[in-house]
Amino acid sequence: MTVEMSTPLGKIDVTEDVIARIAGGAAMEVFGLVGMASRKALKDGIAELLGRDNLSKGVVVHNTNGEVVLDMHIIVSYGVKISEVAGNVQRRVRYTLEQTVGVDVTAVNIFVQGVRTDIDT
Amino acid sequence: MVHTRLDGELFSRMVYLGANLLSENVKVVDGLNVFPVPDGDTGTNMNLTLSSGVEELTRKESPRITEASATLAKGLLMGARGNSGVILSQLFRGFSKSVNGKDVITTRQFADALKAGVDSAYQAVMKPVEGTILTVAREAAEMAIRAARTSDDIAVVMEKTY
Repeated sequence: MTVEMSTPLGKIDVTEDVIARIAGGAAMEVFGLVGMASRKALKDGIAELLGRDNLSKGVVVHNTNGEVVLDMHIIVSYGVKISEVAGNVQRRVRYTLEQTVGVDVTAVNIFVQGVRTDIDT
Repeated sequence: MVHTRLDGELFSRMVYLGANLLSENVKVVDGLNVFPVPDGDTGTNMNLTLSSGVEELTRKESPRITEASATLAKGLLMGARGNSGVILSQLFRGFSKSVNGKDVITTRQFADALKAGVDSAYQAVMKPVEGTILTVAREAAEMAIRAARTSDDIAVVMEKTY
């Protein structure tokens, strides 16, 4: 599935994977976020820390009639204000997608899937 | 007056003065805001965060640096606003951990604590973006460590760090 945008010169199609990758990349730059939890790991019930190559992991794009909704499964660092980090991710992802792709995101839903303590590292 | 030791009282006074200076310069810092979203609220966010830390600190003043810094760190954590606020709270969380259990610290320990704060902040982000307050804090801490080798006066070290 793709997200479509019409311009006077023609149509622009952006695949959901591209949206997911850009969202993932933008989220990783937000302070306090230390990883993304993959959906597969969700099923397994184990949240694994993923590297940077898996930018789109943990990001689910819902696209219904041009309304784009993102679900982001994140892992945060222990000792940060989680509500604020989640809010920062929402703002950052929405802003980046609007600026770089031109996609208006209806909602960015954050699922805090794990918290990493200092002992884990 | 030369200060070669830092206790909770002096630490608190430094924080109060710093907070005042920040609130006077909110607009300037707002103007520096480019990341994560250039909406010009960094100064406001940091001021709110630091005010929350200061409020906690005035409620629970302590002559011991371990308690004073832990109180400040807790206040900052609870009141963290925006990306910079979260970073600020993490910097002081690391600082507070580093001076844990100590009543007073030397200038060198102070520089080490600044560095510990930066290290702990860098651990809390996957992809650090340079050019943010993180970079400033890192370079300031590195300077503090260098300055602490040549002087044991906290004021001198702070001057160089700044």
